[in-house]
Amino acid sequence: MRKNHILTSTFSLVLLASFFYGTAQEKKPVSDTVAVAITPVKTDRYGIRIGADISRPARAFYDKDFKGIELVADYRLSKKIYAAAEVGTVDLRTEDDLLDFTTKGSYIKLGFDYNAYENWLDMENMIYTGIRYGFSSFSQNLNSYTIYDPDNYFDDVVVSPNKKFSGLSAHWVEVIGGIKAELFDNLFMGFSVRLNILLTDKKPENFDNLYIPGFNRTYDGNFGVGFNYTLSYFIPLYKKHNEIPKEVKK
Amino acid sequence: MKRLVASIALLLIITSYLLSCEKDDLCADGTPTTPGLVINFYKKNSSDVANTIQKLYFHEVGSEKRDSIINSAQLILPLRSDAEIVKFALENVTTPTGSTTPTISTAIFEIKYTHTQTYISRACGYKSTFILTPGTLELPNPGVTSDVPDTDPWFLQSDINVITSNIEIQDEKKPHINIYF
Repeated sequence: MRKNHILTSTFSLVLLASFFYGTAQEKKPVSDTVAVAITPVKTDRYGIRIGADISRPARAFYDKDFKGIELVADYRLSKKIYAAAEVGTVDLRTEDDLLDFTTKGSYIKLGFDYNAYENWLDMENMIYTGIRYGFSSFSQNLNSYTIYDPDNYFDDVVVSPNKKFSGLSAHWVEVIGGIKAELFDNLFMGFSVRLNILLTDKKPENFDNLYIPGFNRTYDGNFGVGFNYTLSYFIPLYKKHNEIPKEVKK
Repeated sequence: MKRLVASIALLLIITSYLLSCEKDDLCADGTPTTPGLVINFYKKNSSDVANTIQKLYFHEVGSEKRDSIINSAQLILPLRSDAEIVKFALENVTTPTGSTTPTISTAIFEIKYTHTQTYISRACGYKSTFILTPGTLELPNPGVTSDVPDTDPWFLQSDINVITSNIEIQDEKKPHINIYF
């Protein structure tokens, strides 16, 4: 499990680095040539971008306890602001030392992304922050648990109630940081990390929500973390001329 | 722009930190978990004075596994979470003054109870708590017999005092039973 996280973070760092490397290269000619030439007329394309997370099917491939998908979409509202959403489903069995439970459910996240990256010419890459409101509806199935007895005289007692708690829900807020880079025409690859703050959740009786679809594992203090790797396709709808900047930045 | 990169980097660091300290999986000491049955021993003649046991072995009847207490006036017996009755053999080992050979006297101690399981946390899982079944005159609870027929155990049924205000075994803070011998 931990190995995956390291892999994930390493990959994201590499992605992040390559992105900057790429842009650094592209920016060079700015001062040399274009600044002296005609001021370019920039047009911004507006449209909807839809895609899917690729890490979840990948995880489902090697982790037999996990099934899940996440679809993502964003819609450009203005030069820098995008309306964004994610929907997904999760079916995950967690086998801890003392607890064994299966969480099933779906979630939706709605919010905005703010692109803080100044693109050169017609590039459409993003380095963004975002915020989401998340809601999940799910069930927990308590497969089995071990009764914790610090006195070791008797053998551990494992109880298998196989009890299902349905109709559970959770609300939370996510703070996001991420990047999106255009690989080919209209095809984007994205990565985002998310810090989740749980607002409320409906807990199962005599148990707890130790995992919430979309929110992921719950930690003490109502925090959670998440990430996604996405491949998405941009469908252009219309174009808008960008205001010509008065000064050409070096 | 720089601020954004910094904040994304910070988010990455926080994320990996949270993932790396994933192991809050150890049940912290002091967390109230499954309690045992607390028995305090007092002197039969002067019931305020704790009666220290030199050495006591105990084991569940039919089990090979033995546990013991040494120089203590308190015994905490574990209860089974998968049964509603448990029978212990309590072997009191005494060495009379002026003698070197210890004598062993065994009492068969039977406890009846009900139990419930309560969720604690991810790290501690569930705990059992117990309620002693009220005894009757014919069927006292806990009950004591001798391991040798037609002899008296080292403490008698009348020496067992169930503390009625504490028959719910929720923790080990207060005794649940006093035994006078």
